Amino acid sequence: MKLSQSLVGESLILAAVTLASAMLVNSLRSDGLSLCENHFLHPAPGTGEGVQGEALEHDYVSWDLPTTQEYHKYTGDEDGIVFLDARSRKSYDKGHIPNAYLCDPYRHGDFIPDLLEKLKAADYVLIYCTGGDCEDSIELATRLVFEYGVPADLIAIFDQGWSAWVEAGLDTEVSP
Amino acid sequence: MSVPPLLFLLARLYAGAAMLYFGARKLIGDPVDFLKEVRAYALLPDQPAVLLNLTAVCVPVFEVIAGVALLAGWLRRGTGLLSAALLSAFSIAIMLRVPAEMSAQGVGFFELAFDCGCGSGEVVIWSKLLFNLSLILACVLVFAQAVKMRRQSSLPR
Repeated sequence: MKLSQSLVGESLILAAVTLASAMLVNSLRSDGLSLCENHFLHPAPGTGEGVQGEALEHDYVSWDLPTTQEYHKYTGDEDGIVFLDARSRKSYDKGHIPNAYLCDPYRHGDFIPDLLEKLKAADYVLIYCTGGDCEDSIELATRLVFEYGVPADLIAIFDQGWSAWVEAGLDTEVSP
Repeated sequence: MSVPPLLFLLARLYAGAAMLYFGARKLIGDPVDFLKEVRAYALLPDQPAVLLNLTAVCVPVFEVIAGVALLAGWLRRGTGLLSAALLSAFSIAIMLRVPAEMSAQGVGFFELAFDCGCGSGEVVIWSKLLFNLSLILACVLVFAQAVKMRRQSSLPR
């Protein structure tokens, strides 16, 4: 057998083993990706267009730390403010803003349907993620507005995020 | 110029251990985190989504399999070549992202650090590129030695 043929053969074996193993691993893990689903509804930076070619960008209200703190007083069950944590379950379980609901935008089907009624009836829905370059808040906001029909003017983003909340020494809650 | 056999062995073990380590780090983490990193390079379109998703699912598994194969000395030509190609593609993708990151962070090349999605969190980019280059060279050495051995074994006796 020629060298080029055996090289192609080895490469194909590797590619086939990789593909089969990757499919198996992805199907076995509980946090595996849904392969055909677009996990990013929010447009990629610079494109300005979403998955259906329609503009999905919106200038959401931005809250700073003092405003977020002030509204946090009204996050009880009978009040109208809902806080959503757009980070992963692992991060949420380690610590989150008290009364905030976990709502991972990349696994939105596990979270949003159960919260939808509460969100649509809220006076404000505050979304936060890690802070800094984190885009998970804006991804969740886009998902809520354009896929689940939550009015955009109900949504506020806490840009400084979890890191600013912790740095300020404010109360946090750990999942049991 | 002949290369000592020990150097080939060290190159194979070095590349294998590195591939296995970084692949395992990515596999242990949340696949969405790696998916976001792949998307940040803007080399693949969002649609059809299966392209991005499949890349995010397959790359860590390939790295683990290639790492094990390199350490064990299996399929050395294919593994050496594909690993070198993958590492080269990663390095080019990192370099393409450098100007935008430098501008966003307002720092020079040698101060630039970001999470390249390589499985090691935020890293200083020039040292990461140098590390990748050393891995590419190691993979090329593995490939070259395997080809040489193949040619020698097929010579008429």
